Amino acid sequence: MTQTLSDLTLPISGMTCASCVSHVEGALKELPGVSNVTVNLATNKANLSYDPQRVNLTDMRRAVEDVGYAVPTAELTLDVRGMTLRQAQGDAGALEGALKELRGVQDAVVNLGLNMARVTYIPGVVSTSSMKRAVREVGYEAQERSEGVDALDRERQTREEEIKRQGRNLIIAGAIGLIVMIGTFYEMLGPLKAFIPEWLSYKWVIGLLTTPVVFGPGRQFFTNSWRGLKHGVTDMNLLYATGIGAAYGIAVINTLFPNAGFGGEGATFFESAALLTAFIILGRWLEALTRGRTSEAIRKLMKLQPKVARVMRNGKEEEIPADEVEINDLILVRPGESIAVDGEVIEGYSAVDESMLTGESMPVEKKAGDAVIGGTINKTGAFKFKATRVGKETALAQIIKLVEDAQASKAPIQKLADWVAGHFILGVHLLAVAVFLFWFFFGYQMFFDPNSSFILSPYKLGEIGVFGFSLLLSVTVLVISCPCAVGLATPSAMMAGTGKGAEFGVLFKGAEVIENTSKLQTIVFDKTGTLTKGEPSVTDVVVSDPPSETSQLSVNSDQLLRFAAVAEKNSEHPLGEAIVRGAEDRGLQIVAPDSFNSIPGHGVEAKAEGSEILLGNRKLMKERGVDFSALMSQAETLELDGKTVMFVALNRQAAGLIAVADTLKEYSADAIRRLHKLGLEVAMITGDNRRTADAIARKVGIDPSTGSGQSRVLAEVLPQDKAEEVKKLQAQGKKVAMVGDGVNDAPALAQAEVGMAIGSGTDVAKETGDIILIKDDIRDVVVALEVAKATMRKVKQNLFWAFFYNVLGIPLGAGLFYTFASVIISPELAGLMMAVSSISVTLNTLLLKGFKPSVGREHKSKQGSGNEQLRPVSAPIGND
Amino acid sequence: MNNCALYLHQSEMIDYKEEPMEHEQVEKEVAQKSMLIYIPISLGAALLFLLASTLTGNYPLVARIGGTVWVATLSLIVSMPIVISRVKKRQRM
Repeated sequence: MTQTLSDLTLPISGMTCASCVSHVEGALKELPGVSNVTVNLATNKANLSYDPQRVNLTDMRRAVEDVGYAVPTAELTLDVRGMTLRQAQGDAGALEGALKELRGVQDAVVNLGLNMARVTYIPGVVSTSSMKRAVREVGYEAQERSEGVDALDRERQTREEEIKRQGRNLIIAGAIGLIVMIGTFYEMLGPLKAFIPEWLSYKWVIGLLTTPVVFGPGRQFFTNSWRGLKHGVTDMNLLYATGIGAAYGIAVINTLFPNAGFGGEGATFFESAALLTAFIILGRWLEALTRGRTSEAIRKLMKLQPKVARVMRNGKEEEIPADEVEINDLILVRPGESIAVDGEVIEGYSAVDESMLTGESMPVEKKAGDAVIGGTINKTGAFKFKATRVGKETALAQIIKLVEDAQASKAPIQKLADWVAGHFILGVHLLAVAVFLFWFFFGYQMFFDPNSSFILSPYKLGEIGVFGFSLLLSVTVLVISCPCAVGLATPSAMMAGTGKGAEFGVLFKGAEVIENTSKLQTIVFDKTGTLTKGEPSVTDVVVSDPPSETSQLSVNSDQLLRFAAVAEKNSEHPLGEAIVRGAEDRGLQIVAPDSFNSIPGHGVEAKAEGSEILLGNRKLMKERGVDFSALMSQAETLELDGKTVMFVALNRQAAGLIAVADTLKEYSADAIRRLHKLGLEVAMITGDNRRTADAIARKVGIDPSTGSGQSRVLAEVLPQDKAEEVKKLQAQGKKVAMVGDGVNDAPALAQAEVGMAIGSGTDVAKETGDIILIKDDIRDVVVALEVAKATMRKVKQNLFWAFFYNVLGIPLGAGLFYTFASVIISPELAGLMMAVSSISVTLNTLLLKGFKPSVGREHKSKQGSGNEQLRPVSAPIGND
Repeated sequence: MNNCALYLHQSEMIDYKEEPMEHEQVEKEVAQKSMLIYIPISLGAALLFLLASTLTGNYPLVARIGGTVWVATLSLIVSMPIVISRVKKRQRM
């Protein structure tokens, strides 16, 4: 039997650290028929493939719940029309069945009296439109209740609920923890004692106050870690649970049985248990607060998705939900409105702001025949367009999918961090055993000083016994070693980086791509269509000077070009078309020739307005006996520049030269200059002959004179051999990126470490390559490199800070400094340190939000100076 | 389009009619087998500690018992995930 795998993105809630990631991954991987599981902490999503014949969503949900996490569900109310009570009695079951059959629908209840269906479903797995479609297929019409929220709102809602939950826990734990601390240090409060009742310092009162903190807000650590342990997984919750549990347990024993030998009343750790709980929850609350902000880019993109469309149906305007628009629907757009889906303008004229998708700052003109993109905003006029791509096929949906996929993926550096964090917990528990054994059997006798105290605390260790002291250090090691920050370091930065890229029209297809891009050494550009516009155009018009004395011929450059265009008017040759276009661009009137004759391989001859026009190559002129010796040196100069020279004779006399060449894109030279500035080797690859290739390379700023060193020109390379050339560069140990148009360069794009498809407009799904540059602006290669480098810099900084806390904290917690300085860190201070480590990593990531690529910065500063006329940052899509 | 929807529905019907009993049973078996391994391991470690603390020094009884409980707890935490995942792997083979 053939196995059909389905892909699934499952939302996961309750994950707080990298070990959570490995547990959820482990739990899902263990299910039969589940493969390719990738869990992302920053997006709270699991991407996987599964065989529907062997495993179902309920299994997956249960597996996730078993290890202490959850698959969140949402509720939706649908108004079902066309259902009479009598009919419905028979069909309610069928309707419920149809809804329940949908993947992601957990439950469906149809209410006959209210004509409504309440559906419980997993957000992101099933869409509202597929539920409505399922209802339609059973023969009814369904409409979402207005209170219904979209996926974006739900995601925010889930995050807000988590913030609220941890906030509530924090208020309880923080407030009680503070009272417990005041009670514990009552004797040291001096004059302040007058304001505090003495009974607050009684151990049993402190114990009573601490108990609800441990079993209320702190309960989550115990339940989650136990659920994980039962399935053979350990996580941060376990570190906290053992830490809080041990501190609380000893405190209870010392309070109830002060003579038990655990240090007595002088060594109760109620404040440790209470404050540790409060600090850990503080960390989680702050993390929940800041984590959502790293995914702001995707939220911005999702917000662009229009909710409604004004569609022409049966000759009438009708406002319908945007996700119900079908291909070929006619849609009306008024000034200021969002364009609902992708389409083609049928009538009307307007300017559309596409900056939100392409980064292009200037509105783009739209007239009949032009393509419009869903999610962009109509600025001035009204127009009507035909829907060409709807739903998941629209450019915006494709971009969102691409960014989401990239954010769900893992960079190699992240895999390593996850592995370390995942295995760290067990290592930490082993270390806790070792620390306990050392201090129990050796350390206490050798180093213990009753006058020693905790760091930042006047609280003396006093009469604490060997067990109490060893346990205290063992617990501190557990708390201080929490690798929360390690798990968050990479995914949060990657999320921010992919989002930042999308903001500038640079789509990274995965976290690995960002890492690879940051390591690039050589950038190879395809010439035609990438560095150049890919179509020839007139570059020079040289008039024979002085005109022949024996003729009445006297033409200027416009007249010469006009004659040439008239001769080529009926030509289909690319060079002929370039001449006609060149004449049209200069506003010259091109009449039809009286006669026309094509001379294959040589040129054309035509008669117009009483003149005999001969246009073609050198050989044609020689055959016809036209003397071009006076212009020959100029022709050779033009050819040396890589241009194709066409000779024009009027009435059998040399009239001039017209040079045609593929021209550089507006910002090609600037892009190469910037890449050189970044210290990268730049190469160009082309099928053109060496002379043309060298000429173009010189113009763009690539030095063709050296085959090694900083620049390269790879000429006369057949399309199928481009990948080989890339391979040769890689064989020299270089990390190579190939920049091409994404169609004929596919093998080379695939061969390179990073393939960049440029100018792909918005048809992102079809593109090969690891990075898609939406705009046709070659400088976005620089933007991609800068974003990747900035992101990886952030990843490295984050990892440094995360490990710095642990490297510093573990010896401190294990009592290494106690051996010579007689100071140890208290468990609650260890908890605070760990909270600070997570927060510092997240805040450091948030700094990436302010990142601006050099292209944008320079453009802005130029605008600010007011010395230069305002120009768009880039050319509009498809301008060449 | 309709065919596609039909295909999806059919596959989802199978999806929901299937009973996920096998997975639960396997989990139960794994839990039982693992318990027979990790409990002796942690008790063994705790016993070693008790012996060592009794034989090597003049520790108060409470410290010895407390230490034994703590070593047993940590050993349980360390051995549980290792044993369970090993047993699971073996079960799958």
